[in-house]
Amino acid sequence: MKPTRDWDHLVQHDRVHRSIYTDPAYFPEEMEKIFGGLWTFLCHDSELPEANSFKRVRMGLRPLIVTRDKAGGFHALFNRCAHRAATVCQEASGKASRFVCAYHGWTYRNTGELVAVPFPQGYGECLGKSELGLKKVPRVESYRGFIFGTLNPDMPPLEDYLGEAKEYLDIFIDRAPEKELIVRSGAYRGTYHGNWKLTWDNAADGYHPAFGHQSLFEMTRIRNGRDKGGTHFSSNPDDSPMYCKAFAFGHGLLHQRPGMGDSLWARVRPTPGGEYTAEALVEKYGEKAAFEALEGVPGAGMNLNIFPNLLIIGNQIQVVEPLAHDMTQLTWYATMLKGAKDEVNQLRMRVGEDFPNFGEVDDMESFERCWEGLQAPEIEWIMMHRGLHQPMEDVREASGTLKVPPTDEAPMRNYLSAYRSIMESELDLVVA
Amino acid sequence: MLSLRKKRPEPSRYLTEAYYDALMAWQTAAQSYGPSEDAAVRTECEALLLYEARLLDTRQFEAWLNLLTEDCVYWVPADIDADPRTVVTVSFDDRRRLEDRIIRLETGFAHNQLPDRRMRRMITNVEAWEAEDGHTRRVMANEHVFEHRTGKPRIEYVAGLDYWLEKVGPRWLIKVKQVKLLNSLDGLDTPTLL
Repeated sequence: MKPTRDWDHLVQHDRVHRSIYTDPAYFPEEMEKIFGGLWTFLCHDSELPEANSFKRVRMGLRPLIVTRDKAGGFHALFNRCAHRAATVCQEASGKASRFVCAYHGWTYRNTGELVAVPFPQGYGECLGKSELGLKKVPRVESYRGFIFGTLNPDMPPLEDYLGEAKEYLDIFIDRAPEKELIVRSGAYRGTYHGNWKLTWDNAADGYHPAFGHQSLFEMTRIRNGRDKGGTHFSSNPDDSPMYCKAFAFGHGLLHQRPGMGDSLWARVRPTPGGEYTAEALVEKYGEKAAFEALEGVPGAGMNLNIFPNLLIIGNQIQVVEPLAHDMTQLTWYATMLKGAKDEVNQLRMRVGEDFPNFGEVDDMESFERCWEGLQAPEIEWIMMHRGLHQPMEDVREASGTLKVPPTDEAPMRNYLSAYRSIMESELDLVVA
Repeated sequence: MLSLRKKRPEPSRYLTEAYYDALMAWQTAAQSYGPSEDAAVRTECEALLLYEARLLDTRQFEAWLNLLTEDCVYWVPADIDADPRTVVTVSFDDRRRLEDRIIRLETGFAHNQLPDRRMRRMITNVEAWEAEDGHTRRVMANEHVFEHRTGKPRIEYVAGLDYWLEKVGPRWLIKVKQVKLLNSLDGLDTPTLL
């Protein structure tokens, strides 16, 4: 029996109860409903470049294999043998037309179909082979290469789910000359001791940088002066043209771009090989074309957060992977721009390494400090009321999207409201 | 106070295509080395590695940086064999970014260094070879790094180390330090300097 949840008490308009972070009883339900009942990001189609490509991913804690069959179709298979539940694929990615369970030799096609069972006479007529394929995520849809899955028949189509967040995802993707991303450049993975929602509390938080990232800003000031890196956060960001948005379904945005001046490349912190590459490009293509190309090196100047697990940050795709109620992995996939010059894509690797090394380290420490503070049971609340007193600054757009100053906590309230709404629903999740 | 703080960052011009090509050739060649045979070379290299380890463990980061050449790279791959031109790494620092890293660590605001983050590392399995020209050496070793703050869980890293040393004047300096973490593809805590 599931515990009774008083959601009016747990998630209020201005504060959230510590227990939904600290109580391990919520975690299995979150992994089931949030990371199964919503559209969950699985992978990018460029990670499966050819027929029979596959990649292992998690949907919550469910082990999946996303495959591309020989006709080019995508499948999100449960990595779980129909017989005794062993995983049938151990490699992180690769090419395979079949998956063989190493336990008893059951063999599956990369479309999920069970094709062979050793010594079948032992089953007589009772095997039921056609029912014993690898189960599949019944709804898999993609938007401009981003593949999502859901087990919830009642979810609207993916594009409706993405809603207005789509326009900002477009901005990120359209930086590629051929309007496509290539996600085949590995990943940086970080793990912190704490609940996954601490990442979400932070994901569109324009309030924390000047303090949480003071080490980075101070180093940048010492080394490069005031106009590089994230220093547009060091005086009150609410006095800048930056803003946040809170979209339907819990998605959020911290748009830094309006506060970042004309050139994004000009704001990139000095990068290994940066001057050599820039000068080589100028020599090869002339100043104008070279600097236009270099604009493709950094990200789009935004933090775009697609609930529950896809965060666009810098020039990377960050995937939130909860491992346990108190352990979370953040995977930062590097991206290339299709059609961009090799030099530009190369510099994207070096720029991509900057924030995980010099910024995220402090965020993860902040999350762990929150986690330690949350262990005090008598002090029940996490506050998220910043901005509630000044509704005049909130511009409720026709679509229902809320636009607020960059330090407003509306994006946090917004995702927690979406969280609450799915957690308090009775869902009928299905597999195919 | 770090004297580095007063240094003007140099433009980064040495990470050329040729440099990356040489790095990949060096990396590929790693598998072709037989047992190291020159005990004197090995002893000298081991002394350098142990000294380097002590400088890092005692947070003498500027002195550590002085063991590296002007055109150095500190390279912690995520995907061990991948070309860093097309695949992101855990860390890939040229000298300028190493200076940035050290200055950030010592700003007093690097929260995960507080309070009093301590490190100790064990260096073992040292093998060393000198090239025929007498100007470059390769050193491979293993390390086991512990980091700790009072009241926090101890963090451990195990890695293979691969060094490209160059003779600069009378000294052997580190041109490339590659750290092949055992768990480079899993989620890492945030290592200080490996």
